[in-house]
Amino acid sequence: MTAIRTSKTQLKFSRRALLKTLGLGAGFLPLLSTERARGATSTGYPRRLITIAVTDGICPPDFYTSAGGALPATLPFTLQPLAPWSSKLLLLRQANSQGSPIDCNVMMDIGAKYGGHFTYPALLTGAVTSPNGTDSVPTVTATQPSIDQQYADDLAQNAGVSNALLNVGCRPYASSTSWAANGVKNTPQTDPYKLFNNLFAGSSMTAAQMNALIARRKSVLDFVGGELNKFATNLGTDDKTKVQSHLAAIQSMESQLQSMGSSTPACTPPGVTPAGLNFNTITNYPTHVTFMADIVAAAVICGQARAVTMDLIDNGGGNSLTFPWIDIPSPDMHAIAHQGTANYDQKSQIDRWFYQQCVAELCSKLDAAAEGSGTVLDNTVILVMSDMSEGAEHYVGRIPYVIVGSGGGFFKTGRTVTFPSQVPNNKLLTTILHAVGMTSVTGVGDPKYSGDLDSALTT
Amino acid sequence: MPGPVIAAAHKRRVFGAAWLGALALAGCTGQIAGGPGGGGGAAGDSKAGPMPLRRLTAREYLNTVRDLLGDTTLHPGDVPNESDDLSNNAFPFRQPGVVGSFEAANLQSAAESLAKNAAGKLSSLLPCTPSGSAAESDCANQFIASFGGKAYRRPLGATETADLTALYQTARTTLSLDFNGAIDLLIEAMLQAPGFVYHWEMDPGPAVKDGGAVQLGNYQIANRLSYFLWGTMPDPALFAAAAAGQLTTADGLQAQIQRMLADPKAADMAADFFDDWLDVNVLASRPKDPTLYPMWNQDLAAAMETEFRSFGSAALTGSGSFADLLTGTSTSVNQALAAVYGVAGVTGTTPKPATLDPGQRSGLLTLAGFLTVTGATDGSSPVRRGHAIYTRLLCDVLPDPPNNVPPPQPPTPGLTTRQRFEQHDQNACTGACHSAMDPIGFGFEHYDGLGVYRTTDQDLPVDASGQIPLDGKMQTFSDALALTRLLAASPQVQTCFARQWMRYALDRWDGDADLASVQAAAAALQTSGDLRDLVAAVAASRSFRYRAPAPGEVLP
Repeated sequence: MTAIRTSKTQLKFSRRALLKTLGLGAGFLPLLSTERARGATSTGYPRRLITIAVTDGICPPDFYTSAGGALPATLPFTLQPLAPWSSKLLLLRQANSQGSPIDCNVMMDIGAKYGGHFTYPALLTGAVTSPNGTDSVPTVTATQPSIDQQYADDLAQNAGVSNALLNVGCRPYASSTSWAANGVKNTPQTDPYKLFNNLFAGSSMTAAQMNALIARRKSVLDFVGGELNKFATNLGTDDKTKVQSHLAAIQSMESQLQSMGSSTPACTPPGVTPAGLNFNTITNYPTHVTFMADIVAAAVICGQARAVTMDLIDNGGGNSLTFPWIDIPSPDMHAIAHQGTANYDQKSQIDRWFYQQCVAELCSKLDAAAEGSGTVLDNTVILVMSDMSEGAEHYVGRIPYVIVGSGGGFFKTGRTVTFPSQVPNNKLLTTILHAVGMTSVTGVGDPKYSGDLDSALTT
Repeated sequence: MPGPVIAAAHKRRVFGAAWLGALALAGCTGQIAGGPGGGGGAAGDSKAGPMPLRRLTAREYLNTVRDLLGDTTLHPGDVPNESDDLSNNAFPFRQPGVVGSFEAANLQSAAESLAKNAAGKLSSLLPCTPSGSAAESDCANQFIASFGGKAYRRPLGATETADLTALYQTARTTLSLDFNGAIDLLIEAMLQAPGFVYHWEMDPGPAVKDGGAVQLGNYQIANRLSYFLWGTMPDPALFAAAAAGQLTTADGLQAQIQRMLADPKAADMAADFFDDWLDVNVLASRPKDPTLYPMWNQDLAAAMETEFRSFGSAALTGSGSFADLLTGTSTSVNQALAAVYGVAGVTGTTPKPATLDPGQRSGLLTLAGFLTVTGATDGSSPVRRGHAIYTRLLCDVLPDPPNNVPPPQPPTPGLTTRQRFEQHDQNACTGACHSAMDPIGFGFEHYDGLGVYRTTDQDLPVDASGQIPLDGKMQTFSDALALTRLLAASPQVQTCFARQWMRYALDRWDGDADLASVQAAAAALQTSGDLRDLVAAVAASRSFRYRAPAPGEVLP
C-alpha cells in the first residue's frame, strides 16, 4: 500500500531545534550527509544497534580474560553462555589491572565517583548533570541524547526510517539508559504484551482502514501540535522545555505515520505465551526477559527497530531481585553485590544468568536469521554493560562493556583488546556510532572527551 | 506550638542510594529546609514557592476520565505513569515526569480507546440533538464549549474554541466523518491537548499579583483542591463555586474544603497519600525467600496493601485522630492476612473488621504492609525500617554511603538480626549513620520480613529496645509499641507530618517560602489532633493559593 506523507505542520520545535535549544553542542550534531547510504553495510544490509544494561557491576575474576589477543578456548565464567558466538565477540581489558579500560568520566566530573547506582543516564550519553548537585539530591540526568536516539534520529533524517528507536525494560528503576534530549529520558516499555501488539498487531487492517486511521491521526496530531505551540508561548523557561519535549514526541509520531502500514520484510512474530502473566511475581522474571529478548530479536529482523535499548534491571541501590531459579532465593541481588569478594560465587552466577537469558537468547535468534552471506547478528552491534565496576565498590570507572557482532565487519571480533590506560566511555560511544554508519561523528557527549577508539577496535 | 524543625539546608554532594547495609559518614544527620532540592526561594523574596508545570498523574488521569466520560476501562500502564524513586532522600511521593515519545504514544492510544468507547454514548455527552444537518454546526459549538470546559477544567479561550471548531470542520470535510464521528474525533483530540493533559488551569483575565507572588485564580484553586483532596477533576458544585468567584474568598474556600473532605472521594486521597508516603505501593514487586516465607504471593501482597490503604483512609474519615493513626489497632483483614496477624475466625478473601492484639500491634507502622516493604528478602531489616522512620516521620536526611562499605553478615544461626547489625555498626566505616538509623529500626525486631510477630530470632529472645532523637533529645523505648506512642506525641513528628502533606499537595519540596504555611498546618494538627484539620489547613494555606512566577514566564 502507499503510505500517506504528512504535510509540514506548524511545529516550531523540530527535534534538531530542540537538541540545539537543549544544549547539544553543534559540533557534535551528526553531520547530515546525503551522499552515503545511512546505516547500511557495504553489502546494503541495515546495521542495527542493541544495548543491554544490567545493574550492580560484575566480578572481575569471572569476567575478564587474562590476556589480549585471540579469545581463550574457555571464556571467563560470566561470559560462557556466549561461547557459540565467540568469534563474534569483542572484549576489552586493562593492561595493568584486572578490569575494564572504560571509565565514566562525566560521572566523576559531577563528583559521583562512587555513584555507580546512578550511571544509567551516562552509559549511552557521556553527558550528565546533577540538578541541585550541591544538595543531597541523587538525581542524575543526561544532558544530551543517547547513542540509540542519535542513531534513530540520523536514520529518520537521512534514510527515511522513522521507526528505528525501541526502548524496552523489565524491572527498570526511575532512570533509563536512553535519553531523547537534555533532561528528557525515553521511558522503556516494560509490558511485553503491549510491546508485541505495538510492533506486530495491526497487520490485519485493510488498506482502506489503515488509510483512514493515518488520516485521522494526522488531523489529531496536527491539532495537538498546534495547541502545544500556543500553550508554550508564555510559560517559564523550564516549563517551556517540558512542552518542547512533548512537541518533539508529537512530531516524531507524525513522521512515523508515513511508515504505518508500509510493507515489511517477511518475518515471524515471536510467541508471547502464556498471556496475562504478573511480572511482579519474581518467578516470572525469566519469562519476562525471554519475552523481551525474543520480541527485540523479531523486531530487528523484521525491520521494526534498528536502535534498541534493553534495561533489564536497575534498583537504585535498594531492594532488588532474587534468583530462586538458580537456587538463590535470598538475599537479593543488591545485598549479594555488596558482599563483594566474599560472595563472588553467587554474584557471578547471577551475572552469567543475564548473559544466558538475554544476550545469548538474542544472539541465537539474530544469528539464525540469514542475511546475505552472513546473519543479522553479523550486521548488528550488541553492547552489553553494567552500571558500575564491581558490586561492592560502586565505582564509576572500569565500567564493563562487552561488544557482540561486528556491525557489518566494522569491528575486528573474536578477541580481547588490551588498553594501556583508561579511556572515557564517550570514545567508545563515538566508535559505536561509527560502527552503525555515522562515520562523521567526532564525539559523543561532553566535547572534552571527543575522539574514538576506532583504531584499537577495528584493526 | 513547638519550634520549627527547620534549619539551613545542607550543602553537600552525595549520590549513592545504597543505604542498605552501608551508610557511614560522620555527622551525617540533619534536618533541612524543605528537603533535597528545596522548593522555594529565600524567605521574603517571592513570598510563594514555584508551581512547576506538570501533567496529570496516572491516577489523576484515570479518575478524571472516570468522571468526565464514565469510563473505567483503562489501567495505569495504559497512560503516562510514574515510577517511585526509592533512592535515599528522593522526593517522598511519585512525581510525573516529562511527556516524551513513550508517554505521548500512550496518550494517543488511551485517547483513541476512550473516544471509541464514548462513541456508543454520545447522547449523554452532547448538550443538544441536532434536528438536521443545518443544526449540526451549532450543536458542535455547544459541545465544544460544554465538554471542552469540563475536559480542560476551565472556560476555553477564544483561540482554543476556534481551533476545535476548525478541527470539527476538518473532520466533516477532509475526513468525511458524520456528525457523531466528528464529535468523537473532538473527544479524541481534546484528551491529547495540553488543556487536558497538563495542570495549568489558568483563569481568563490578567494575573492577580501580590508583591512578587501570583494569586491563583478561581479555576486554578478549584483544580488544585480537586486533585489534592479527590485526585480527580472538579465536580459541578466546585466548578460553580469557581465561576462565582467564591474560591478566592476565605469563607468560600473553607466551605468547599469541608464539603470535599466529607465526600467519599477524600478517602481515596488519604489512602493514596499513605500508600505513597511509606512506599507500600511497591509492595507487590518485592521478592521474598519462598523457603522462609512460603505464604508470600501476589494475593497476600494485595491484601496487605488494601489493609494499609484502608487503615490510612479510615484515620481521616473516621476518628480523624493522629494518635489513632500511629497507635490504633482497629483494622480489616481477609483470611490470608489474618494468618499473618494471628487473628482467628476470619475466612474468605474479602476483608472483615478485626482488632489486632494491642500487645503486639500499634498503628500504621506495625501493619504488615509497612513491615514487609521495609523487610529484607530473608528477614527483618533494622536499617530499612529505621531509615523509613528517620526520613519519612522525622523529615531528617541521611547522606549516601561512601565506597566499599561492608554489608552486615547474612542470617546466621546463634546470632539474632539485632546482633548481626550491632556488629555491623561497630565498623568504624558504617557506625556514624547506622548508629542513627538502626537503634530506631531495632524497635521493629518483633516482626519478621512479612511482619509476623515473633518473640525469638534464631532461637534467641528478641530485644526490641532502642532509642530515637526526638524534639532535641534522645528518647529510649522498649519496643515498637512504645516507639509509636513516642512518635504520636512528638511535635517534631507532627510538624514533619504536616510538611509531608504539604509536599504531597504541592507535588514539590517545600522551601523557605513555605515555612509559614507548614507551621500553620502543623499548628492545626497540634491544636485538635485531627487529621482533617491538618489537611484543611494545607488546602487553605498561602503556599496552596499563591505561586512565584517562573523565570521567563510571561504573565497574562
